[in-house]
Amino acid sequence: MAIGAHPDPVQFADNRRLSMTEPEYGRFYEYLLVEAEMLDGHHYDAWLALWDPAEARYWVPTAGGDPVSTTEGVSLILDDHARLEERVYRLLHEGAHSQEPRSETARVLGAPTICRLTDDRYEARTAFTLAEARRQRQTMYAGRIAYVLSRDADEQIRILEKSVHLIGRELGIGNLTFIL
Amino acid sequence: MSGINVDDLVRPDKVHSSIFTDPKIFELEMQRIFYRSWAYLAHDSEVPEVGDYVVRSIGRQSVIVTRSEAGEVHVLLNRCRHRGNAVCSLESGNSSFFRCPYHGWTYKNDGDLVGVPFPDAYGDSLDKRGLGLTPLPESDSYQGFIFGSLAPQPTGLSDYLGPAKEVIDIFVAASPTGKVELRAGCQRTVFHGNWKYVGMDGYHASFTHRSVYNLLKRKGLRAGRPKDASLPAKAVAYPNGHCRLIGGRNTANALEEYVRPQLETDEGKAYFALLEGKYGADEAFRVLVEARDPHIGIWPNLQIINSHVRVIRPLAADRTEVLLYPALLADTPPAINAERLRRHEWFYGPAGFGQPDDAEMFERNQQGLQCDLEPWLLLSRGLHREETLPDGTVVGDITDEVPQRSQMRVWAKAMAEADDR
Repeated sequence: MAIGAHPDPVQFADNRRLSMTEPEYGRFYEYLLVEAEMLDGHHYDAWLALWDPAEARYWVPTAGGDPVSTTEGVSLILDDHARLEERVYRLLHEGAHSQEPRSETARVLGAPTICRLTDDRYEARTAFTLAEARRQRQTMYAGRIAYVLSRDADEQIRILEKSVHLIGRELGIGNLTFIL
Repeated sequence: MSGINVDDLVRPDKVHSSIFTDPKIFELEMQRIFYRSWAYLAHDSEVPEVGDYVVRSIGRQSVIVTRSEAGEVHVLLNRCRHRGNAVCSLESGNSSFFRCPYHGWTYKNDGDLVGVPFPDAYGDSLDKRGLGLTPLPESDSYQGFIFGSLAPQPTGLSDYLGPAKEVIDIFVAASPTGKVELRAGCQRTVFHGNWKYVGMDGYHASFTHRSVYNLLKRKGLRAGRPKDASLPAKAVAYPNGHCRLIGGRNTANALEEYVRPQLETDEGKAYFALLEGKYGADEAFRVLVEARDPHIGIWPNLQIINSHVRVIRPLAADRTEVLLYPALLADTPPAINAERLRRHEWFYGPAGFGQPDDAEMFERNQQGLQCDLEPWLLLSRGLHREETLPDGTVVGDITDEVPQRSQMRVWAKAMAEADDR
């Protein structure tokens, strides 16, 4: 799954998702809800452990030219695993003034559409809203998220990619140093 | 009459809180600084083809930068000459014409009025030649950086930029063909604080950016400001309020820690060969090191920091937009430009590891300045040891408040000039 693919509901017009059993679907959805809960609870180490170290790609595009070649276009965030680990380290140690105090967040994930990409890879897409409160101000964020997830023989799910397409990002964004 | 006495607000070594908090002063800044000074608008590379346009602003006024059929750049006010509608509603695009959506008045992309629906109603009274989109009284460019002014200027752009031109030259010299391209998109950020905080400050880094220093140390990279008398780190204030920070030893360290490792890659070797062909080996190294971070502010709304071009857009006394346009090097291997972008994202943007902590300090500053029983901010750091050169340039240690004092002098001079200039 190439990063930069734009959420496109037409791709779900075929019936691949229907081949997924209800318990299987529920397992993925619950995984995403647990991920959201970890972030709202600032459990960043546990959250980092959800990621596949070799392929991790956490992407928040800017407005305008997306899907854009990331070699020629700037993103708001484009983290591989090493940078994701730095992001978490920064949040867990003193000196990150923009998260002292931390952002309090509550996010709501819609029920995702999920399709199987290969034998062990799945794509999940959903919309979300997130309220963030910090230092006398509350901000609403909303957007679409696309995940690429892997599931191995032991049923262990991992995050390979998470792309967060914020709406309104062309209007100017304030402090986005918590994790979406 | 503004009712504001600038001499009460700016002294050689301190400034009054109200210049950052008072909405009346903000309004006067719009009139006397943003609507009278040269201001940066866009870069040539953002309108490369005939018909390309971008919409930018000077203060609250919307300005269209277009490239006409003749290939020339035109800088036009985004206001229909009929009843004042904004004729262009998109941020950028390509169009031969701008048609006002309200009553259909149509302008060519050089500004000429070419169509007025049902013109009979005007009899012979409508002279279309005098009703084109209003061009700015002044517009010019340097190294592709397009500036404009809403008022006639006593000096041309070249004189206005002065020695700052050499720093822009350094920035573009990292491209083998001497060109940068602003086509990588934009990070658009906002903070709740005054626009004048976004200055050139060499004093804050090890405190405000403690988390970044910690990350650098974890990677085994040098952080902080090593003392090296042979390579002093300086703060420089050029005439007209342009200011620069020069990294000294830190800049030299970049050669070993960042530049040389990159040159060991295949793309790095190809890139260096191109620069070597243009400059020779020694000069190519100097260009690579110097161009890494020009760190210059061009008064009042442009900065060139590391690999990006930054535009400061004041929205209110307590609200500011900061737009970051990473610059790609023209005719350079893609991996070199990709590294510039990834390095940029590491520190800058609303989710970077550095810039949000600056914005946090600016917001806390705005909060702190509400306590104004003791209303003065001290800007005296290094006042006793700064040096003034014959051309008016002032030089001090990088941690001295040379840039702040210089910008406040330029600010006070502009704010004290009467409205009937």
